[in-house]
Amino acid sequence: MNTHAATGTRDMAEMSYSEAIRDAMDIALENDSRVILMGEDIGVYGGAFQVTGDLVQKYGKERVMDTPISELGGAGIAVGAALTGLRPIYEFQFSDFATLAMEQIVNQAAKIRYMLGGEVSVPLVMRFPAGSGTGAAAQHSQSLEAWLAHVPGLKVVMPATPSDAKGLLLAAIEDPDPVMIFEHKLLYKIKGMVRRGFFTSPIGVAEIQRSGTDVTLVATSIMVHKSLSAAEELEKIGISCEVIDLKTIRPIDCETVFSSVKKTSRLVCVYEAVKTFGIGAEISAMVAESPAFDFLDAPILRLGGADNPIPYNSKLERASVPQVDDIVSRVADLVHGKI
Amino acid sequence: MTQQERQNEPFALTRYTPDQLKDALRKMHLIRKFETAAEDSYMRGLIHGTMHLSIGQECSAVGSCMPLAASDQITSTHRGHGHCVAKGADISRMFAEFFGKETGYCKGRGGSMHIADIAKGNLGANGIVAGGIPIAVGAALSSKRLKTGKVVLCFFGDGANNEGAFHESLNMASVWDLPVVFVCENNKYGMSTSVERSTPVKNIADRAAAYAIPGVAVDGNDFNAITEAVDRAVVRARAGQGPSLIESLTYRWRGHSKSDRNRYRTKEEINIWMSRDPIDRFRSFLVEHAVLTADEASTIESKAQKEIEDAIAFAKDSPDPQVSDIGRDVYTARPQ
Amino acid sequence: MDMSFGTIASWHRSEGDSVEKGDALLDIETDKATMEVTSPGTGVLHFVSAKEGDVVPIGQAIGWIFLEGEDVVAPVGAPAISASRREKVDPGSDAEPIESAPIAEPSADCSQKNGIRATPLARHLARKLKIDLAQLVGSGPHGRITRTDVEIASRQFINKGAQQQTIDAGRKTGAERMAQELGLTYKTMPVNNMRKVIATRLIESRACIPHFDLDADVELDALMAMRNQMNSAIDKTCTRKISINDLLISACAMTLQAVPDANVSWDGDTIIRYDDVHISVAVALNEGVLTPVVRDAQRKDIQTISAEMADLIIRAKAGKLSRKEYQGVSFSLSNLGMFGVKSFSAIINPPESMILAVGQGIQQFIPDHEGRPRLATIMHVRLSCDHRVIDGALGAIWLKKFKEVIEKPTVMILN
Repeated sequence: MNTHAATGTRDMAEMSYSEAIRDAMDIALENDSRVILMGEDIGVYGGAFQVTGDLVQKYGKERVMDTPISELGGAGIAVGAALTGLRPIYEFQFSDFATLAMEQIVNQAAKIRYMLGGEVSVPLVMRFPAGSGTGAAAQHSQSLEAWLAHVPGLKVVMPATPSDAKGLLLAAIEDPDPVMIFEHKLLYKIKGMVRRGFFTSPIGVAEIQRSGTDVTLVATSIMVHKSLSAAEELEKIGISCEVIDLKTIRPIDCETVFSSVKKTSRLVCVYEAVKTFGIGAEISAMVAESPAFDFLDAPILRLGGADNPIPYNSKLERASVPQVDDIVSRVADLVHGKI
Repeated sequence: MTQQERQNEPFALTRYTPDQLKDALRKMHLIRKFETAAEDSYMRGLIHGTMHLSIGQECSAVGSCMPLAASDQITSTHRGHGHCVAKGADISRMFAEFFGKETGYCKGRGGSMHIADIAKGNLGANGIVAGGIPIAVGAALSSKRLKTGKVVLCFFGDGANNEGAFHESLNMASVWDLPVVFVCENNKYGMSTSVERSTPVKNIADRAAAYAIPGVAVDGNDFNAITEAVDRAVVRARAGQGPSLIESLTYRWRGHSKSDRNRYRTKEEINIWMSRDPIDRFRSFLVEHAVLTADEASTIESKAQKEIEDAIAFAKDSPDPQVSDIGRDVYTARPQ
Repeated sequence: MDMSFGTIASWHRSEGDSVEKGDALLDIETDKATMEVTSPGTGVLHFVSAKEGDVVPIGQAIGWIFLEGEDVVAPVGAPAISASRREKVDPGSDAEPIESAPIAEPSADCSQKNGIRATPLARHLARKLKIDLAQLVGSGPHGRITRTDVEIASRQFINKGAQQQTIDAGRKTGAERMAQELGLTYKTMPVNNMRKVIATRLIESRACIPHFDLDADVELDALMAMRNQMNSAIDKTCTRKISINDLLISACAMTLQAVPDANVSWDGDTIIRYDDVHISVAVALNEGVLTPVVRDAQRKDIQTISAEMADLIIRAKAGKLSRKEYQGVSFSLSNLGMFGVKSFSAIINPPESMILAVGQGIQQFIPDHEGRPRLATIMHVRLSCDHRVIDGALGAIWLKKFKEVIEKPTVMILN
């Protein structure tokens, strides 16, 4: 091991995705007295998914605030606080509950800066535990990120790794505009190497997680992991996949997608949210409108969630979102000219 | 003056200097004339969109803002021109916004429903009924956490008292003892639906009981009554004792917006309220108590008229925003 | 193989029945096979005008499908067809969209310039390389032209050298202008994709391939006798009879296996010699001609070849063949004997290197070894060869071997 690598290793620590988020919040609370956490049961309970953990013990109830079960009011208070000097990080217990707060997110947080002619900004972070796979059925399993990505004024990020969970959250806290962070619940337990201390991952920048030549898989959140597993399988049958972790869906990093499509000539969008009117449609249209269009040698494929609410039965639940096998077979069909 | 005499004196005279009271009258006239000129500009096709005029509610706006310090903050509503003037806005920039000009408060991006004046502590009007209430509570949270000592006054109408955001906000403001004063301007109708038809409690102020905070209903067209009630609430808030709810009973002379055909109320009802003009009432009160003479009052009014004319001229002469700047301020520009 | 009439074998539905698009309506018998006609629309069947056993010309209406609830009024003439949404049942055409045959696009697209299925990348490359996509057959699903197709085409054009840049089948010949000058009456008909491909490929063949022809007379009596024996032997167990054509395919396969040097394609800088024998057989269709291929024919017995061929013909006529099923490699068989043609020349279908044109078997007297007349059935065959890969002697060896197999056909069974 050379010196450089040794230094690198010392700077890194293995932590889970939820620990990485907690680490980021800990750093932010420590460094900036304006930062407060708000949410339901984030105090002594530690958050429904134990993400805030014992931060309340370190920073007190004033800065790690349990709110009543009042998503609309809570979100609005966070907006007002952000507007007037605080840096709130608001946790929705489940992303599904954001539907109760849409007024404040969409009409207020997203638009205040623009409506007021740029006189103010709303440095607000909202965290949304999202996604299926926990047997929580239709009202606790949704992936609503595209709803928010449709709104100018919001930024929407979807970290897939512990490192990005931390880096993107710290970037979001620094950002002067409202940033919505979608965290897949199944990712909370995954582990990875994360840099110690303060660092940010840039918002709006995608990353190629695996290089390949035959087909580009653009994935978000947990689907990055599924796409990488699928890519391993596909390599065994001679298909070389390039896997892009989109990381941010608004603003979207089109250039990384375009360059990859120009290289591979095939595009597959993989995401857990309902396929219809989703991120995949946006990426597909973006490519179709771009100079990368002329490099497509096959139809663009979207692999997204089924057109039904997430069902309770585990077999049905699995069937409602793309799984590794689905990605393998659909991508193979595409590359083999069957689609 | 004896202690006894001072106690019997109207609140406004004990609390404010003659200059402050004259300025209050000036602001009421400005509001009335602003609204009238706005309506006139609309009729003559100089501005587009719609507007929600607060003619008849001037005293409520000015009286509510009187107890506030310059650094205190307000949130306002779609019927917010009066609040804006009361908190000290520059009417030239208000008209410019109304005309959609780059010199307007929102650089022509917000219009009538979104006028804000952050420097003067006006956090903005709001196009969503009850949309500003949680924001006011958030601002009060900032005040408490950052220990700025600011009080936030939250204006909303009777229509907002049935929105969930109202109840959630009052509840949390009370739970956390936040320095916020909720002023519900009850002008009797949420668009066309009367309070009697929408709200089962006798007074909206009675809602306060549910959140264990003081609640009082006062005549919003009586300067002394409204300003005293708000003053008490502001003192309480500043002392860290938490929020209050004040119901300011008033009346809008015009329709809800420009599309209103006044089918839900009678001409007689409107005429009765118009005959009890709150500005005349305040002016008579000031003359009666020798704060100013009738002539001085007339001068204030004509000066206000001149201010309005100058403001309109400024607005008309101001440049439109550049189409190429359409996407500016969607996000904060950051150095690369 | 031409099909201008069909015999109504049986109706599966009758007057007044509700039918759904795709339901089997009736069976039609042709000289080669029985095929199923499916419903072109959903509705109720009325005005069935052809009974079982009737022989009906192609294009004639034999029934009408009315929409549910539509007034059932006797259709009077052609215009009523287009004016109403009624579907006409026509014994020769299947109105179902044709899935896998790339050159049988829906007719609306055929006349349109952009009716070509090609990926954006293929179009982009074609523009860059100045290749006319209309001349290519796509290898993708639904005949979609992909990057690979364009690249292969581009290499072929380069290999052909500088003397020829592109082949322009779309060039005007002046026929219409002349007809106008002469005051003739005529109709213009659109050129469908299949016709376009035929025109392009055959111009290319004639222009690029140095053809030479070898003729031979072949005695057919032994083959016919064997066929009769086989058919009477299998008669009880199988409805399908072995045709002369099936035996000719088998004979060609056997000959090519015996003369492997002839089982080749010219590919510019290389010669491709195939390990197995693949025989293309020309099949006439309404809209043109297709050459379905019997793959690995040297390994298949006559009955297998016969069954396979029957299936290929049915699907070719229904437009249901995939591209791979009619993509020949080295050899074609074209038989016009059933039309009474005595002998003819065929054009090699690139990248093949030989085509055998087969005429009608005709009874005639020929001298026996003692010089006395003997009655024999003589079939004239003409083998056209690509001189770039097949020399005269090689062609002659092939033809000699073929003649031996036909005249002593039992070797076909023995193998």
